[in-house]
Amino acid sequence: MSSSSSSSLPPCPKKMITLKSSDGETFQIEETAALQSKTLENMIDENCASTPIPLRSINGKILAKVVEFCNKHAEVGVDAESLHAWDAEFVNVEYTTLFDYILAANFLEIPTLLDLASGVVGDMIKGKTPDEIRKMFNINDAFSPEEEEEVRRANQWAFE
Amino acid sequence: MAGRRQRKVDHISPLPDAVIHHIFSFLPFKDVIKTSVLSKQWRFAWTFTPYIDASLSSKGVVPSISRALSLRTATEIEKFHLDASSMPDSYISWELNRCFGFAVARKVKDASLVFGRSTEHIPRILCDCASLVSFRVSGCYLPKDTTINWPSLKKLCIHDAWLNDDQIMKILNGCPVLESLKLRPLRMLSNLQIDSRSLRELVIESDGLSTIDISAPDLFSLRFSGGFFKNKDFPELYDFDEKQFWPSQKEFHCVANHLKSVEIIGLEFNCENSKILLALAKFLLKEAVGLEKITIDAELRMSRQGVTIDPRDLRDFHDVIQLQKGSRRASRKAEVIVKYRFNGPRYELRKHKQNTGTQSIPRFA
Repeated sequence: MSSSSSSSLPPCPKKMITLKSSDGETFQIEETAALQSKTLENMIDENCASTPIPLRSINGKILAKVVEFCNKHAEVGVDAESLHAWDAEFVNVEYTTLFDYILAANFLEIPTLLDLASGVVGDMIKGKTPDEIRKMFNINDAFSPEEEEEVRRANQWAFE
Repeated sequence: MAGRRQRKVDHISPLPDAVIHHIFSFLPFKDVIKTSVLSKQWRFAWTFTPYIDASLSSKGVVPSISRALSLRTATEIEKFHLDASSMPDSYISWELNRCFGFAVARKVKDASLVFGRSTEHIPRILCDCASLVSFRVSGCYLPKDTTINWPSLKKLCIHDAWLNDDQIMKILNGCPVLESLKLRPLRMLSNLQIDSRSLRELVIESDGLSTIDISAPDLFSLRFSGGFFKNKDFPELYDFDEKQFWPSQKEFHCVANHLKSVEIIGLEFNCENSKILLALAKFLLKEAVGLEKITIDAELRMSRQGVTIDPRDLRDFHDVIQLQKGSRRASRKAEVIVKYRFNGPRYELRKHKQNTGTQSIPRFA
């Protein structure tokens, strides 16, 4: 619907920028979509985006998803409800992938993606006992029972 | 085998501190503190979090929270939310003052305080807070003889507050850069005067206001909901004309400047309010030069027999449709959206001024 309404305007070449993942894959993204990332916005502002931008901390699999996210959120005319449903589907992944999204969003400074993925991790932790959290995320290096008791006692109310 | 080994790897502990704190921002304070026992590495992570979202479940918890706050090592507090809605009585004000004392000293930016049935004073210490950017408070009084000083405040949401006419003025005077005001006042308020040069968004939910006087030249968005005006103040309702709508029409600068979006929520047909609010809509359509959208959200009630609509309701509804069809507009872009509920489902009608297509009142099946 949104594309048909703009068809009356003279076609204007879309500005694209190229991103390169840690494993050498390249991705094209429209500048308007890329602007959701503060990091990329700064590079565009400083005219550093004419050559492929190397993103050494993000692999191709994750970068593809991040580009997909930015494209979706740059679409015009998507109502809030369907975007919400799309987001929920987007983060319906294993938690290790969620952490990859969070790290990528943190590096690229994409607040919408950072909040979305961090919120899901928050929901996973919320209301769980420390034991359940340890098991869920394979957290080792646990305290001895005596040490744990001491840490608990410092803020007993939080464990009641 | 390899997959199995991978599942044992701890992926969360090596995350950078900033990321961990961001995850903490989605957790209640209690859950954040609980992470202290996860492992040696996690022991002090909670003390650095700049986000605190605490719920006071019982009296005993308040001093514990104060204590936990004093153990924190972070020098700034980004967000401080306190929910005291389930507290049974009102002895807590001293402790609250102490809790917010920590927050104010650590330059809190985003504060919220929710009281329940035991309505409380806003902690005095919070009334003078230069760092505050966003503040939401529910179920409160303003302490007597307090000066409000919120020089950085941009967003204020006051729900179920016992505020009188003067106190609203006092608040607005203390917020020179306020951009968004959401107000659901309680009974003490009758004449609402909004005078702000910075306000961009205004939301008023109210029953029983007599008059509203808005002087906000940069207002961008206006939203009303609730039954508004007392009947006794408008004896000649049925002759009501949009010209008479605002006695202070000349003061209503936003009409000539920036007003883009107006929403009237929960319009009830066939009562005094509907006449006035429709007159308001008509007035704004006629006068607001930058208007883009008026949304009217209305409820069509069924008659007692439960099959037909009250004809008087339908007459008002017809007036709403007329607004969509033909009324004069100062802004060519202005769109009137009518949302209405009838027997459950929700319909939406959109129509532009320039569209000359015929529009009939929808039939009800």
